[in-house]
Amino acid sequence: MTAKGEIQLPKAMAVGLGKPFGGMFGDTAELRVLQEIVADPYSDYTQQDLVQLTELSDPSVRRGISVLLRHGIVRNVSRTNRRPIYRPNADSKKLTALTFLAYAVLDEVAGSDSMNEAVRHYCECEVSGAEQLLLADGSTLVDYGVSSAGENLGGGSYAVKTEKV
Amino acid sequence: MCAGGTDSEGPDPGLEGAKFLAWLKRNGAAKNLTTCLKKLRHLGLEPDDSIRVWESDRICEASSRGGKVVWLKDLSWADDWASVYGIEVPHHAQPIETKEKLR
Repeated sequence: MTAKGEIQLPKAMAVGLGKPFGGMFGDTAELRVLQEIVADPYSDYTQQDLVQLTELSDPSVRRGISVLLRHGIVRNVSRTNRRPIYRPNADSKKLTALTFLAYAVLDEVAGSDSMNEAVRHYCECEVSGAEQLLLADGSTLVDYGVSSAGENLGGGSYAVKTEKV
Repeated sequence: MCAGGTDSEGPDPGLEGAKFLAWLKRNGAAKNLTTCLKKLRHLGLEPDDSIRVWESDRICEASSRGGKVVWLKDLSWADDWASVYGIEVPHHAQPIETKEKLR
């Protein structure tokens, strides 16, 4: 029975509610810690933060963290051994890929276009970031796939000219 | 442009608020209320200054299977501010100063 005026979450969204990545890989402690990091990769976390946010026990969170450390998804940035602070590693391709997955899971229940938007944004930033690095080095990025001479370099390849623009 | 290139509509949630909205979105745009309150505190936000202040057609409390959840209804609003604050996707091409600002 629903109280009058109460807003109901759409049923499609309720199916995977609270489960890491909509429940597609199950609901283990490791996955819950991973989901928490993927959902906010811009914050630092103590073990206690993750215990609170995931509602898991200390040993379960510790187990989850050790998996993430092993895969380079988080780093311990604490200067002391006694109180580790875990920082998501923005250079981790796995972390980026899992962000796309989180958006894909949402898109399939909400009918949104978040994953495509995020991929588009990622491509823009990665390409412009590469250009900046190459220009600072005195080189230029030609383009995806095709060199300045029109030679096909294969999908996702870059051709680098060594002379300055 | 990687960050700050969007004309955003709706209330500015601030950097930490934008992080919360992005967190909620990556959790399927809905999460139980208790966990949301913990996340708001983790980000240094006061719950009463956040969810209920933002407009209810954008984010609201809802019911699901007998429990209370927070539902991010306006994904575009969250996206716009994620773009403004440069927190859409973590990646290595993100400018160092942006990464540091976000810490």
